[in-house]
Amino acid sequence: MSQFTTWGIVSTIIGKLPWTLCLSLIAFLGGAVVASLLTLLTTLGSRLADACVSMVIATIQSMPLLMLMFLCFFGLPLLQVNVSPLLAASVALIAFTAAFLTETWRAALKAVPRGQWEAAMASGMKHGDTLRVIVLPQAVRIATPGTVGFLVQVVKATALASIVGFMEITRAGTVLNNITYRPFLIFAIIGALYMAINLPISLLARRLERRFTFNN
Amino acid sequence: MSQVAPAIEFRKVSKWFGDFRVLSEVDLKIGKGEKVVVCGPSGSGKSTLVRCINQLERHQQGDILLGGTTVAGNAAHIRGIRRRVGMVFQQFNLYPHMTALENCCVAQRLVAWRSRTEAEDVARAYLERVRIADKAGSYPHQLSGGQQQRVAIARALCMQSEVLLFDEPTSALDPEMIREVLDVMVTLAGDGLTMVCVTHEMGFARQVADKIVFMDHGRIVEEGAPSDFFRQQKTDRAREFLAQILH
Repeated sequence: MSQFTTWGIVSTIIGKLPWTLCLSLIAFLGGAVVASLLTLLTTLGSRLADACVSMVIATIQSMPLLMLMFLCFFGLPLLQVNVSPLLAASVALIAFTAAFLTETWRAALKAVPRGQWEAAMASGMKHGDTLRVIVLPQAVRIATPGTVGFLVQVVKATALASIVGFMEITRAGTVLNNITYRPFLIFAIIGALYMAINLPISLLARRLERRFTFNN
Repeated sequence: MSQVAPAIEFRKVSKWFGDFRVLSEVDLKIGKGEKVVVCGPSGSGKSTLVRCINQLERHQQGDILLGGTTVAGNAAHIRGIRRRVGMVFQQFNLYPHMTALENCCVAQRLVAWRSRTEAEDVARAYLERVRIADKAGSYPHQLSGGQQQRVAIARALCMQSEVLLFDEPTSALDPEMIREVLDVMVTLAGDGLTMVCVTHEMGFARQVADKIVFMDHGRIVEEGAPSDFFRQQKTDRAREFLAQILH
C-alpha cells in the first residue's frame, strides 16, 4: 500500500497543479467573457434585458456552486449531452464567475457619476463614444480591485470540481489520502499550494485598490 | 433686422417631472450675442430651463428653437444641436482620468473631427484664455475647484459653439475661488458669444447681463434689463428673493 514515499506524494499532487490552474483560468476567462456580454446588454437601456440579466444572476447566486456542478454533471447527460468532469466543472464555474463579475461591473458602471455622461453627451458625443472613452475607463478603475480579488474565490472554488471527479489537486489529495492515510501531510501541501497561488493575487488586488482610490 | 432669428427662442414650453410641473408655458427670446442671467429660488425651474436648450432634459410641450431650428428630434438631430451649444456645469464634470488638455480635446476629436495637433492647439489657446495654460498636463484631482471650473469653461469654448450655457457655475466653489471664475466669465462676455447663465451672483448679473430672467414655480415672472430689475421689482416674489440673496 505504501509505494508512495513522501516525495512521491508531493510530486503527484504538484503534477495535478496545472489542472487547478487550467480550470481556474477557464472559469475566470470564460466568466469574464460572459459577464462582458451580460454587462453590455444592460447598457443598451432596455428594461427587459436588464430584468432578464438580474434574474439570471439572482438564480445562479442563490444556488450553492456544488448544486450547479451536480446540475451540469448529472443533469446535462439526461438531455443527451455527454459531459466530462472538466466540462461540467467548467460550465458551473463559468456561470458562478459570470454572475459575480456581471454584478460587480454593473455596479461599477453605475458608480460613474451621471455628470460624466451629461458632460460628454452635452458636447455632442455619441452614446457609444461616451461609454467607451469616458465611462468605461472610469468603471474599469472602480471594478479592477474587486475583480482581481474575486480570482482568489475562483481558484478556491475549483476544489469543488473534485467532487464530480475532476482530477485537480484536491481530488489528487483525497485519492492519495485514501491510499496512504497521511492526511496532515497531504492536505497541508494542498493548502500551501492554494496559498502560493492566492497570496500574490490578494496582494495585487490590495495594491490596485490603494492605487485607484488614491487617484480619484 | 426683424428677420434674423433669435439665438434661442422658447415658445410656450412646458415640462413635467411626473405630476410636478417644472416649466409652464415659458416664452423667452434671446438675441444673438445677448448675455442672459436666469435667477430664482431653488426648484423654480431655472436649471431645467437651461438644460432643455441642449435637450439634457426633454420638454413635453411647446417648442425651443436654436437659431431658428427646433432642438427636439432624434438622437442624431440632438447631437447636431449640442454641437452648437456648449455647457458648463455646477459640479464641473471634468473627466477624472484625463488631463486638463485631454479634457479639452476629446469632443474636438470625436465630434468636430479635428486632428490631434489641431485639437491640442485649440485647447492650449483656450486654456491660455482662462489663464490656466500651465496646468494643461494636470489631472482634475490635482486642481482646485476654481481651476477645475476654468478648465471646464475652456473645454466648452474649444467646441467654438454659438451659445454657451452655464448651470450655476460658481455654486459648488469655495468663496475665495468664485472671483477667478467670474472674472473669466466677464472676459468671455465681451466676445460676442450668446451666454445663458443660471446664477445667484447678482454682481456678475449687474456687470455683464443684457437681460435678467426671474423664475418662480416654473414660470418666468419677470424679465428685463438688470438696471430696471435691480431698481424696481414688479413682483413681491422677486423682491423677497433679492432681499434674501443680497443680505
